[in-house]
Amino acid sequence: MIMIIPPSFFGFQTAQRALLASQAGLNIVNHNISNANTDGYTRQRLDLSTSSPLAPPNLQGQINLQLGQGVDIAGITRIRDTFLDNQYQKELGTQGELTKGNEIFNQLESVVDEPSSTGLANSIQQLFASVSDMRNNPQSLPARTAFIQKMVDLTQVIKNQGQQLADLHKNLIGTAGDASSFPTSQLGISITDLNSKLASIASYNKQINAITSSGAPPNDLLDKRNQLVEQLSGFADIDVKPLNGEQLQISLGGQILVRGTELLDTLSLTVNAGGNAAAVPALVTTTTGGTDITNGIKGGKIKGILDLAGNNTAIENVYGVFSKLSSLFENLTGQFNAVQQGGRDLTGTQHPVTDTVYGELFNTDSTYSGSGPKLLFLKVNPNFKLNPDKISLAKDDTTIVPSGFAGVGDSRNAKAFADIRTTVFSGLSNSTLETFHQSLVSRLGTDARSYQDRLDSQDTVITSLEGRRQSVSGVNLDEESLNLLKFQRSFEAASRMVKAFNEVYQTILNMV
Amino acid sequence: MNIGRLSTSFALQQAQGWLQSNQSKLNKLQEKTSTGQNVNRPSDDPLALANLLNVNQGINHNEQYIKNIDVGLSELQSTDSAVGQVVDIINRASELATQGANVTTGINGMTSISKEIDLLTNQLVQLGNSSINGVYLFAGVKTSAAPFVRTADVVTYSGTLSTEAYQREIDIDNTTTTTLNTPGDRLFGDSTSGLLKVMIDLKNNLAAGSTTDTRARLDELKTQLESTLSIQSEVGANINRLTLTKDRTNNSQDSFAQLYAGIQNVDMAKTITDLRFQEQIQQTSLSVLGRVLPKSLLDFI
Repeated sequence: MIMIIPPSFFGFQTAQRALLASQAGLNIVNHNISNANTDGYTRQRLDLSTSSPLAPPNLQGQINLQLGQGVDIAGITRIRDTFLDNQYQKELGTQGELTKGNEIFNQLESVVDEPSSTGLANSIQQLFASVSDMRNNPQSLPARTAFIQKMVDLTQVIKNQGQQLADLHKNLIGTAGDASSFPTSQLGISITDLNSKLASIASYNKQINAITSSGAPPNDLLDKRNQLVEQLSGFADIDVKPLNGEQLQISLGGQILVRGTELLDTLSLTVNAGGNAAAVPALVTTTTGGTDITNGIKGGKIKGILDLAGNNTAIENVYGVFSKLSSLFENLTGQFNAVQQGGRDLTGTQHPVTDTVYGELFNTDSTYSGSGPKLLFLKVNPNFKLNPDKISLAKDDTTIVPSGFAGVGDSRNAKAFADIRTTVFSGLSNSTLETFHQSLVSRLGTDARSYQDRLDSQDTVITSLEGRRQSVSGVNLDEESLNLLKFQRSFEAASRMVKAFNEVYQTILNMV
Repeated sequence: MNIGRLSTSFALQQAQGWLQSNQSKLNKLQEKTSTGQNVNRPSDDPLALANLLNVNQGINHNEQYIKNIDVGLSELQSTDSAVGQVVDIINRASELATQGANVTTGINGMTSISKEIDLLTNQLVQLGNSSINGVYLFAGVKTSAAPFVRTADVVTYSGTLSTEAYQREIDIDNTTTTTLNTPGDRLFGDSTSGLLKVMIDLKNNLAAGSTTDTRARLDELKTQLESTLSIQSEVGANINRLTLTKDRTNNSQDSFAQLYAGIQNVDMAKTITDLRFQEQIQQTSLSVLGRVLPKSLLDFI
């Protein structure tokens, strides 16, 4: 017969451990339920293990029986699949880029305003319709006045679009040549945000380092840092590398920005010295020699802003559309001016380029600096409003009429105006005004559509990854309710054990 | 997505996503039905948009050409009626000349016939100065001044000469330009040549009582009639050509309009069916969500 003699209050101690374990379980359920809706929260689980058994020796000094001492709390685990995390974090960059790009494309499409009866295509058509009316009736002043009005309308429409694009461009990146305008732009604000997130990650790394070295798992801090890393991924395609002791190294475009507890570098914007100077500023590292990483960024909201502002010339970007509208208008106005200079007006007078009053139908504002897109500086020559007879609709034809003037019914120069419609401009990729605009609009449509479609599919990828991640890490309230029941019941049962042992000891004491 | 374990907040999040996607589909259909257009922005259908802009340009061109042709037709019709009147006047003058050449008419009769010829000459000058909308029809490109001026027996023509290369033109399609006006010198001549010279000579011959000369003028009138008739048939042919071009342009306009409608006009029956279907989905998903989501173990313990 084997005899075991446990310590007197052995039962109490086992029950007490059970009570503590159940209580810990209840607290974890409480924590999980409380954070069921917290972004980035990872559910936690109580790990229990049996306590090391009591193994009293028998009378012969041998251990042939072990008596269980109940339960121990082994730890609190964060349930997370890091493989899914990494995948998710990588996809966030693409999503950030496409979301931003799509948003800007929407704005671009609303500026371009096609197909519509108020857009640029319509204005160009109306302008040429009024030219045709003048050709039918060159001596009619109302027809000439209508033509002037159509020039004004067209100018208003195209300059309005240009202004909206310029404003959008400024809102995205500031004025590309003026560093003081960067911080208030979307790009500048994103960079500031990104820098502060980098600093936060370094400081979380510090806290995590302190706690890990004391041996405890810093579950909630890891969640928070993870969330920061994910937000950062939305800004740019950061490269995250785990280091020892739950530490992280963050780099972007080949530059290490955070290494563990150290914040090595931040990002800043400078005026671009390269070929795309008018379109976007350069993104450089602040401390380590100002390395330009503008083109090293392959994803994220920042890439979306840079691309659409003008850094990606393979798509119809804001700066590109602005430049194209500008060259469209410059070619149009230039050609109209040339035709005006080549003919004779209603009274047979010529208006050569040297005629400062009537030599140009469209003139350039004196505030124009002399370089860059002219779009916002071109206007209809106001002199014609009062003197529509000065428009040259007759041909300068000295071979036919010796006086050099064929008469008020001569509309051959009006025909020259009308022919501008079918003129192929080398400055407009060898297309006519209208086909140039059409191809601009349809390319914009194609690009916008491709961003939309890619974003849709990226959203599906993200949702599916998020689903799988949440399936591992998310809180399920039904599950927690069951756990609540489980720990509640085990707590009750453990209390019963206390009561039972109490009675046992009482019985023993009463025996005396 | 096949997920074993489901997080409560993600289930809600996903439900929200489904509702939003349903709503955005509904919204798209609503936009289509209320604008009646398939393509509302370039990205809706980039390929269709390119066609649309092209077709639209064609429609616009045609509209303008039809307008040009209408302007041309109205002028040619005025010309036609003026030329018709010239023919009448030549016929009347021939009648009178035949009468005057008859020896029985006598000098008094010839004098009064001479006066009538004079009046007819004035009528011709007036016709030569006919205008629509302030445009002198027979002045060539010098449309702002009356081309014919008669002082006694001298009639001058100051419009563009028919020998000059350029007359007034309109564009009737992409490549065709057509001449509108008949130069006045060709139709009427002046006091040194052409119809007006014959008329003035005839008047003077009659006044002088020369039956031989009057008879000679009669032959000249015949020649003038022939050339005027040939001008009339030219104008008629021109009117015909413009009318045909207009018909053709109208036809192409119809097919453009059909093309445009085919691309841009919403198939209402289909879209409304889609809309109904989408509505049904939206309603069903709402009611299913309403039943499934609030269920929790907490209700039962």
